[in-house]
Amino acid sequence: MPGVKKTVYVITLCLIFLPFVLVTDIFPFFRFGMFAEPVRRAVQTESFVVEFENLRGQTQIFNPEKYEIPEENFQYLARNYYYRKEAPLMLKRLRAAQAFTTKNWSLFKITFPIDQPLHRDTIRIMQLP
Amino acid sequence: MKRSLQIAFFIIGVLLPLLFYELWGKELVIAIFEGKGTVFSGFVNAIYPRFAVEKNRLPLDFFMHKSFQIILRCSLLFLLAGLFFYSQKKYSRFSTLTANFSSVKTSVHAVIGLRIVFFLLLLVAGKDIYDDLRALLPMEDFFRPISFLKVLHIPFPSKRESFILYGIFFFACFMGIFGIRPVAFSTLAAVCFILYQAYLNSFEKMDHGFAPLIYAALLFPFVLFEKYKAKKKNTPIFYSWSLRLIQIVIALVYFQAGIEKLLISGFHWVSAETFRSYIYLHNAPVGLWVASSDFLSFLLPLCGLVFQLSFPLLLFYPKLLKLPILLTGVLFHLGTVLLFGISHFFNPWLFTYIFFIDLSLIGKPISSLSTYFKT
Repeated sequence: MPGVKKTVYVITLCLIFLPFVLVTDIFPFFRFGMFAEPVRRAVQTESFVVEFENLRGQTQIFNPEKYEIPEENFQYLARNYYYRKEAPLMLKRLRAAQAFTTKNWSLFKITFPIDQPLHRDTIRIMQLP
Repeated sequence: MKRSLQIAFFIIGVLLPLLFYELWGKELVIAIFEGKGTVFSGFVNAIYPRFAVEKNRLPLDFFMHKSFQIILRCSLLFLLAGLFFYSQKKYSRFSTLTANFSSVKTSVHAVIGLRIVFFLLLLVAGKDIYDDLRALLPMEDFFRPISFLKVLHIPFPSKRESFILYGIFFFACFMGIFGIRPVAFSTLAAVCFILYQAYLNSFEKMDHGFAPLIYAALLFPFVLFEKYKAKKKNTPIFYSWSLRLIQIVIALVYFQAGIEKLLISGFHWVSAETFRSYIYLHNAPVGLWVASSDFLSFLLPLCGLVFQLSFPLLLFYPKLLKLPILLTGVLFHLGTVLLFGISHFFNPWLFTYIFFIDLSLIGKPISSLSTYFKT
């Protein structure tokens, strides 16, 4: 048993510290850097909103939580697609995920100062008919 | 001679990363940032998949700082490991202390109680496996497999596969609760839970909400195996290294979360401005109320940081610090819900506090029900 103990101790501690050293998550081992980055109030923050028209022609905001994707995770997803210049692909995929026919899918990027969320600038990134 | 070699190994380990960074590292980071192919480009893309996104939205300084952090942490770990091994060889008192520290006294009854509570909590944490995976199915196109899912080319599960995973997980947890082949079934439950978490985390965002629970689930079969051996040897009280390792890992999780803040932001992190910025990002009503007070905006992050950094002290002074630290932990997680509106009151991080509590009060009466529970 002491041999097993030593091996498990060494492997576990190495794996626990590996994401810490590499500053990244290596699932199922994590880096605990949440809330560690300095944030300045003057910096603009951004959020993304997806809209579409339903069968009745009403405009609806896409709700990711319907698919068990928390809003925060959806923001990451949208941001990643936007910065990878894959916004059209994202909208196509979202449209395909709907059980009903929908049209006019739009991705909006909203920017605002962190401490003034009402001072918003909204840009339509793209629209998919 | 052997000792000189060991000392040289650790000194080189501390200095080499720093030297490498000064001579080549900075230029390599600039080259990768500018999209020039280098020998490290593939490695960077593999371990840091967000780079493709972040290089479009963050300046070069951010990546210089991040790469220096990696170098600094490599050196820091070599330094700490070197000091640890040196102290172990040099001071017999230190080696005795570490040998004693690496195990914790427990009892067969306590492990039985722990087994039952742990599997019940795991059931709570995994109760939505089927619903979550079924709801995510229409979003399958967004699935970007991580870690072993990527390596093994494991696709997103169909409805039937999700149901099978859910069934196996539940079956394994129930077997664990009733003590039937607990080592094997706790391993199976851990595998199912990690697979479920891997699927959830394969949508471009890593959720740390279950991290300590995953670590505990990975190590828990060893605790059950030690208990099995103790029972076989008829030693109701025994020293468990694996239970101690779970405690160490949980303490390190908190400690890492604290030390990350200092390494990334320095002591500037404990400023009212940083705290307020996080509050404004989340816009929770209680958080906004706290943000209006300079005193609270300074005090609360300071308390949070002190709590995270001091969590490992619980391992050294359990009698004195166990209760205050665990209660502070409950308040800490409650605070994140109220101030930032993230996570929820039944935070899975809190589930792992059971590994610091003697649950023989539950295990003892269960032992008398041997008709229903294998002990």
